[in-house]
Amino acid sequence: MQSLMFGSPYLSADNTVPGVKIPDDLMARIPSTIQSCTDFGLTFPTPVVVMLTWDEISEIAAYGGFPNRYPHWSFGMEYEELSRGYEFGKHRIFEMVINTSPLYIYCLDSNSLIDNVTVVAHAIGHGDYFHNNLFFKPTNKNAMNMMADHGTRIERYMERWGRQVVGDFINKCLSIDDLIDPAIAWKPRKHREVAIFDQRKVKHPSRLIIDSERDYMQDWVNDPSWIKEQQTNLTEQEQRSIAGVFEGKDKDIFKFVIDHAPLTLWQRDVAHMLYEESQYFFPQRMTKTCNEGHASYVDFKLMACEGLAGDEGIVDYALHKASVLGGKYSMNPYALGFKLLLHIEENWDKGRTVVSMKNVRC
Amino acid sequence: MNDREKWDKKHMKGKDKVFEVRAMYNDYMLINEFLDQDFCDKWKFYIYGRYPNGEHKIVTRDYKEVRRVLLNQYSTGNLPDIRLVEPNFRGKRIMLLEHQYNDNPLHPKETVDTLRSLFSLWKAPVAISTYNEDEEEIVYVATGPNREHTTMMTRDDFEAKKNW
Repeated sequence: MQSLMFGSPYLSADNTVPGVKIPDDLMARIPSTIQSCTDFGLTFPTPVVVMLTWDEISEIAAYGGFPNRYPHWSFGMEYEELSRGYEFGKHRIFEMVINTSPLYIYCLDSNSLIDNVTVVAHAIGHGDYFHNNLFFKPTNKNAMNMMADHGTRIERYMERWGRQVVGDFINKCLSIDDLIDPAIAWKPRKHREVAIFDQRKVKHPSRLIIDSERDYMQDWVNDPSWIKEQQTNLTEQEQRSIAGVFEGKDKDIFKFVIDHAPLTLWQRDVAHMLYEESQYFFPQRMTKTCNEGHASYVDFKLMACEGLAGDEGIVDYALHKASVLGGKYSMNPYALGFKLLLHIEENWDKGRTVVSMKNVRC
Repeated sequence: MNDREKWDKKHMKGKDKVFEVRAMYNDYMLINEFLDQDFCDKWKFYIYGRYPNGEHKIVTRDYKEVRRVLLNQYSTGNLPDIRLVEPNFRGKRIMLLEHQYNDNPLHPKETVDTLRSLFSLWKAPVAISTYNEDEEEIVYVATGPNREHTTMMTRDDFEAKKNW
């Protein structure tokens, strides 16, 4: 754990890889921060702290947190927005963390010391959420490799078929990559086995049993026309299942297009890669408020309540918190999640649950 | 101080509950279950509106209304809920989609652009049925990859359309 913790093999002031050397005063405080997170009860993968300059963090944020992705103009557009925003002082990215194992934590080198300690605690809160939450269980924890792999494969297709052609196809796929069903991730993957024998079960129409001495009632109880109707229904059902006829409403439109649209092999492969990435990012959209709320709760508890900020750092911490949780006229999802969790904590500390509070007068 | 504010059983189960929430909840479930009137009163979490004289004022203090507005956003991660109902409409490979309408109409321009790119993947007409602001059912149809090929029509016209 110690050797991985600072990401140090890469960070020896080499110009070819992103990152700068972590200052000594921060370096001295990282182990105690991680230790107090563990003592607080959090469980998370091994953290790797990486310190970046502002243009590097804008670049990696534009790529969604992964340094290696497929080439596409939308990442450049995102980078332009983020870096210009920093240059003109509109906003800054304090930290970034991605759902992988080991847990990569990106800090910004122009943060103050106490900001960066907060960032590490906050990011470990996110890591704890990624590690434990139900909706992140089916995601690929080796996503760093997955993204780099997809990037390489798409670049090979670009060499073969042309950058413009593949780029146009990616544009079209990205415009429908929200139309997926996140619940598909929990379903076990099946592959169709080769059938040597016919293993279909013969289905018969249901009929009522009557006593042998009342055989004359047969046609009246089991009406032949009703039996025949059932028989045709069964045959039709079987034919539909063999032919793979679409039944019912389906949320997974992107997958349906990949499976059934007239695409070439490379197009199908590219579309499937984008589908996988879209599925990887979907739980983060579903749990944005909860995730940020939990991370804010963790850093608040550690820095303010457990005293990690110290006497001299508490004012800096309060300033940082106020800027993150601010906003007067619009709804801030960070603040909503954070305050909801504090509300839950207070209610359950004081026993204010629904059952016990039902008859208390207001 | 009334009884409700003084209520304190000293159970001290708060941290356990927060850790349970982090393990099992997403945004929709969190807001659906834990947003209550006490929370809204404590943080003044009401619905505000801009009045004609330029002032921001409270429109409603009811937590059920606040919750309804929030859940409408969060139910599908701030995206419209779109289902595939029929990939082979009229036996002509027309892909028919359906928008599950919850008070928010689709943006016409973005709908048209998405349908165009869906057309160029599917290589056959694509249609989506939704509702406009007057709650009338309308259908966007894309019969080609360009913007000129997309049209908007009522549901009845769509059902009656013959020349695909």
